[in-house]
Amino acid sequence: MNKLIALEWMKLRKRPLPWAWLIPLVLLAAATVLLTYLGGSAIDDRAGGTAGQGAQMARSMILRGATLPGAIISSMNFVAGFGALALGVIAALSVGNEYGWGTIRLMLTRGTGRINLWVSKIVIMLIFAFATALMAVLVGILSGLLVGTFPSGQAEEWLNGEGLTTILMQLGAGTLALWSFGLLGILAATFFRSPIAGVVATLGYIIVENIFLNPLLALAATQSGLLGGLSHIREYLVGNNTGALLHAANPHSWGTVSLSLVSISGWQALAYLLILCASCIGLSLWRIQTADVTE
Amino acid sequence: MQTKDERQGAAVISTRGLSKHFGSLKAVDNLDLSVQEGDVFGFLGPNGAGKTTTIRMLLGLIAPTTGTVALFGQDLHTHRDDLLRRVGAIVEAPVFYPYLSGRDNLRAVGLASGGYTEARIDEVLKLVDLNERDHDKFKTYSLGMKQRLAIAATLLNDPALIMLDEPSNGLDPAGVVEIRQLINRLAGLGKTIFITSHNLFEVQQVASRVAIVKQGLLITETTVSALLADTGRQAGEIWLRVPDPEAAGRLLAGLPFVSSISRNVEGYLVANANFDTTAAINEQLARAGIFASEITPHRPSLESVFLELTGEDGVVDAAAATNMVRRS
Repeated sequence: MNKLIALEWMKLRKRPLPWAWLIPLVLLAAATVLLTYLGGSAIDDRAGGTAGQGAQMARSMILRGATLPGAIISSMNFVAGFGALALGVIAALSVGNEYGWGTIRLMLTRGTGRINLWVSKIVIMLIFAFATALMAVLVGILSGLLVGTFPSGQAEEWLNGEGLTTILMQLGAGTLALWSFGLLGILAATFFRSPIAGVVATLGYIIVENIFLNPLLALAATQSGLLGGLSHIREYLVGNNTGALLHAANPHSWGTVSLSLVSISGWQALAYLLILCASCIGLSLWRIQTADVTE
Repeated sequence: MQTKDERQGAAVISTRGLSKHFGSLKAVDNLDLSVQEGDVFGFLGPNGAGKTTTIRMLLGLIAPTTGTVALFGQDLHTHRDDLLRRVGAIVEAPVFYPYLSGRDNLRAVGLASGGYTEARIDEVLKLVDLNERDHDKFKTYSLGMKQRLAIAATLLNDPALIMLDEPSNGLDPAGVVEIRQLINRLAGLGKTIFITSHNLFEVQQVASRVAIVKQGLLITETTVSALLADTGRQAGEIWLRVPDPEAAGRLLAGLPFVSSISRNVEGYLVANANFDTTAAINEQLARAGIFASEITPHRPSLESVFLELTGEDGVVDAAAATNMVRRS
């Protein structure tokens, strides 16, 4: 199994695609923090009265998202959202291309078991998700340190036990959130046995959830009757659960957090995502074990 | 002479009642094969005969509808991973990761096979003459180079059994000769080689045993020499190039050992007779003052036997047909 994981790692790191995603992901995550700082510092809070107090609050709240430790949360939220696309696409291609190029035959004729081959892909996606989440933390810290050199960019106290615990929780939540989308990509590509179909199915889900379904169901939440009842479906959407988990992994409310549209507890989101991951893994392994891979 | 059962005891590949049905189509039907250690075994058949389906079942890529496959005397279904580590195979076209170099692709194959050494990769790259292009990406390789890389990959783990599915497909004549030489070299090393092909001329050059299949059914399994010696093949066409074909034709038609006389499109006089009578024919013509510039007995080729056995005429692919015309 170790050799198969080494094989998958070699295939992943030599592909141009992960780098083509990761480099903009790093730059955009850093840009998110810096733009948040610029946005916050541009608020004029010198006016007196209620307006001045409101402006002061808004400026302070926004700047907390750009200074440490809030910069870590801002970076992670961005990476978990944009990186979900990356993980989904890369995972779908890593599986789908084996069918498209016919290399699955090459691997299977070398005495590599189907289950072992797929498990190694799943493990590599977990490692890749962790590396991406770790990168989000590092980008957040570096950006926050940079912002710390700017006026009003001073960090709050965060280098303590509670702070490190929060960072570990963010790292775990970010990894699970990203891996969930990677597993969706693996499942779609395994079922459709095609890279294109795998990517389209994964991206399709993310786009439908974020662009169409979420706003529609948010609207439904304001209605009553059958339409209103539909709003509960949102609790079962992947993106909402990953958002809720990241939110729950920020117990000290560092920085600004993009709140989940529905109220899902952290434990509920964690259970949902673990069940989702287990289902994706189980179904993918069942499919690869039972389907004819050469048709 | 060993019986079939005795032979199967030492078989490197052994199938019993192997069948694969796709709906109502019987791609492979009740196939019993036995390939012995050291054999260069040609698995022949026209397009759609079930050759690739068979090789896929031999490699565990698809499950048989009925029947069993044993490699090295062990059941493939229960010992698949261990058995396949002793096999090198190319199934259909050579496939690799296009964004990886030739060397990285071999590393990938090595990792999938349980490990490799750089020295072994150097060795196989040199063997297939790709050591100068090993750092180029696979997608930049010509078809011949891809085929050679595939052969390097099959040799990487020094397999006891090599399965090659149409190994000379798409290669230029020089590439075909290279593959033939390589197969002969591997056979010399004692490897068991299983080749599927519809290029019968190539198979005749390298195979010691052949099986011929048609529409999923095994028609015959024997040695190449036995197949060619079979069917009373001491008689056939004797082609003659003579200055006066009409006079020569009249003379030969009167000889008791010539069964018929005709002329082919290339202008040769064609006598159907026992090959042993070639000298007598020459003598008779010379006595009549007709001196032949060419006398060629056309012995049966694997292709002609194949066409006869399978009833294929014009159904085999263009490459095989070209070889047949060239030789006949």
